[in-house]
Amino acid sequence: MNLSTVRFPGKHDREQVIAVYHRHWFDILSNLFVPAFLTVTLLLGALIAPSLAPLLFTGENGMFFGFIENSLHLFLWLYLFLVWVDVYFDVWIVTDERVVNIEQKDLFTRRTSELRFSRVQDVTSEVQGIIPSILNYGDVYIQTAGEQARFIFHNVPDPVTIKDLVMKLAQRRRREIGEENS
Amino acid sequence: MTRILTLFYLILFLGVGLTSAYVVYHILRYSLSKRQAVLTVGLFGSVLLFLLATNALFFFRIDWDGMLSNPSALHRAYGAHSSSGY
Repeated sequence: MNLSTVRFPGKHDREQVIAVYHRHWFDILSNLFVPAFLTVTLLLGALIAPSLAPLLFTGENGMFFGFIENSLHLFLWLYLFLVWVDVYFDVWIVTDERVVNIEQKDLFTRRTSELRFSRVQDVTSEVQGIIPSILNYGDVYIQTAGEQARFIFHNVPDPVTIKDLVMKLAQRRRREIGEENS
Repeated sequence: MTRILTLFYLILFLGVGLTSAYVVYHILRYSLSKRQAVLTVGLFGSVLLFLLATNALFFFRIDWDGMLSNPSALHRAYGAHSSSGY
């Protein structure tokens, strides 16, 4: 992804996007498992069923079962994208000024929160479980000085690198504040 | 009877349309890059339009009155198949 073309609500004019993180692909896939499994089952059923009961799938009956099958595919396609919108649009954006978290909570709730590097106190990464350890994904917790005690990156790829990046940017910001004060 | 079924079908069709509009709005509004948004909407929209068109085609080609006035037709078809199998 070309970071200079990244747009998000509230982006400042001179703000530079350094990195964009979505959930890890395995986490996205595991959320899409149910609609994908149902789609495959339906497709297999449509292939096998006519050979088991051919009269059910000819003429008017065939039209009726075609309609039922098509309707199920239609609902599954919609369901797949509703899940996709819910999962893929959870995004964490690291810029040269702050960290922005945009989270799709449910169908009509979207939450945007931001954290300036000057407020970062401590950053921790956590990889828990067998699959996350193998695929290297997990959470990153940022301890802040503000009201929101912790800022969390959920199931992001390579959490250690993200932790290092946030630490580096926070330290740089602290140095800049020190220089401005002295 | 067909009229009532058609009415229900149109309500369902409208529901699908509204849900699709919600999905498209979110993809266009919240995608981080315009190119990605256009590609995703293209994929979603093309498959959805194909499914909607074939769905409507199936629905309006079914003789609902005939099927509902003679509901045993399906049983007969299945019965004929199972008896031929034994």
